[in-house]
Amino acid sequence: MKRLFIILLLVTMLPACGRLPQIRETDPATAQRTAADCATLFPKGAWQFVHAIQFFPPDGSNQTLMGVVRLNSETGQLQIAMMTIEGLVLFMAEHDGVTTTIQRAVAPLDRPGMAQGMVDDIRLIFFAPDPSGAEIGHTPEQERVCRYPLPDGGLEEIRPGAHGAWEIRRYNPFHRLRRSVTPLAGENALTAGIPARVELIAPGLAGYRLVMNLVEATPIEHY
Amino acid sequence: MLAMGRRKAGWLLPLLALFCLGWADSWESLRATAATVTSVQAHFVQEKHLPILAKPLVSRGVFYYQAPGSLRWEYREPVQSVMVMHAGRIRRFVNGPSGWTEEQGAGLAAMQVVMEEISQWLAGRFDANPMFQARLEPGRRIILTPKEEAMRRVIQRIELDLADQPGVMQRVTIYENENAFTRMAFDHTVLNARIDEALFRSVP
Repeated sequence: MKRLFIILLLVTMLPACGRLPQIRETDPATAQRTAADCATLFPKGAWQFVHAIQFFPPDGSNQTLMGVVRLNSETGQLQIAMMTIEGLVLFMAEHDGVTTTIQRAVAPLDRPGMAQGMVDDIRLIFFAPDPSGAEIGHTPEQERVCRYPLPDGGLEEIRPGAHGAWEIRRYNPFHRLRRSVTPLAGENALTAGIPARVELIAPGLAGYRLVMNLVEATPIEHY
Repeated sequence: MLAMGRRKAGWLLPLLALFCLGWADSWESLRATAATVTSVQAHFVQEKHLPILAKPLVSRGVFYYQAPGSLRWEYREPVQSVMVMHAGRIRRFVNGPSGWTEEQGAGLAAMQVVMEEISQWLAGRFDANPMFQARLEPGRRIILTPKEEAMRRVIQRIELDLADQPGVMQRVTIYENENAFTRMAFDHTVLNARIDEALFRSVP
C-alpha cells in the first residue's frame, strides 16, 4: 500500500518537476515575429473587462462569480472586483503596479494569500511580462516560445500557436509548473484580442481551475 | 338596481379609503395590504454600481413569489442563473457551456438571508428582521438600517420604494456605501395569479 502511494506520488510529481526544454534560437526576423506574437495576446491601454467566472476548487464543487477587471497596461495598475451573480461583492482589491491593497474580502475569499493569488492570476492573464532578458526561439518540438525571467526567480513562457491557439505557463524558481492559461478550443478572439473563453489551471493537490467567459470589454479613457 | 348600486358602493368604500389614505402610511396598512397578496411575479432590471465600473453592470430577469415563503429568482442575462427557495431550502443553478449545474459555495448562505428577507418584504413584514431598524418615510419609502456595526460594514442601508399599486414594490436599492450599490427596478408585476409550485422546485 505504502509502495503504491509512493508510486502514485511520483507519477503525480513527475510532470510538475519536468525539466524545461532548451530554447533553440531562430533567425532574427523569425524571433522578432515570435516576440510580437507573444506580446499581442495582451490588451493594450486602459480597459474594463467583465467576465462570468466559473471557479472549480479542488473539492469538486463549482461556483460562478462575476469578475470586473479594470487595468492599464502602461502603468501596470489593476482593480479587481469579484461578486456573486446577485451583486454581492465578495472581493475588491487594487494593485498599483507594485503593491496590492485589499479593499474588501468576504469569507472564503479572505483566506491568507488568497488576495495576492487572485491578483497574480489576473496579472498573468492580462499583463505582458517584462521583455528584458527574454529568450525567444522554439522548442525541440518546433513550438515557438518566448521565455521571460521573473523577479522571484521563476519563469513565464508564452507559446503562440496556429489558428489563434496559445498558451501561457508560469513556473516557480524550481521550474515546477504553477499556472497555465489557454483560450478554450473553438473560441474566436474578441475585442482587444481577449478571447471569449479562457481557462486558467493551477495544478497540484490544492489546485483549482478558472474558466473566464467574457461578458463585455470596454475601453476606458482615464485610469 | 339602486339597492345593488348602493351595495356595490358600500363594498367599494373601504377599498377607496385604502387608496386615499395610502397603502403605505403605516406598518399596519402595509401588512393589511400584503395579507391580500398570495403571489407576485415580476420582471426586474438589476444595476450594479461600483466605483471601478465605467458603466453599471446590468442584469435582467424575473421573479416569482408564492406566500408564505416560496421564491424563484431568475436571471436571464448576461448569465442565466436560477435561485429557488422552497420549504426553507435554497438552491442555485447556473447555465454554463455544459448546461445547467447546481452550485454551492461563497455567497449562497448570504443569499439565503437575502431571499428570506425578500420573502418577508413581499409578505409586508418590513420591520420583522431584528437585525435592521426599519423606518417608513413619506413617498412610500422604507429604509432599513443595520443595527450592528459589523453588518453596517457589509450593508450600509436598504431603500425600498413601493409603487402606487397596493402590494407592489417598485424598486430596491442595497447600499454597500454611497458609491457601491445594487438597484433592482421591477415592472410587469402581476399579483395573485396562480403559479405552478414546480417553478420553486425544478430548474430551469
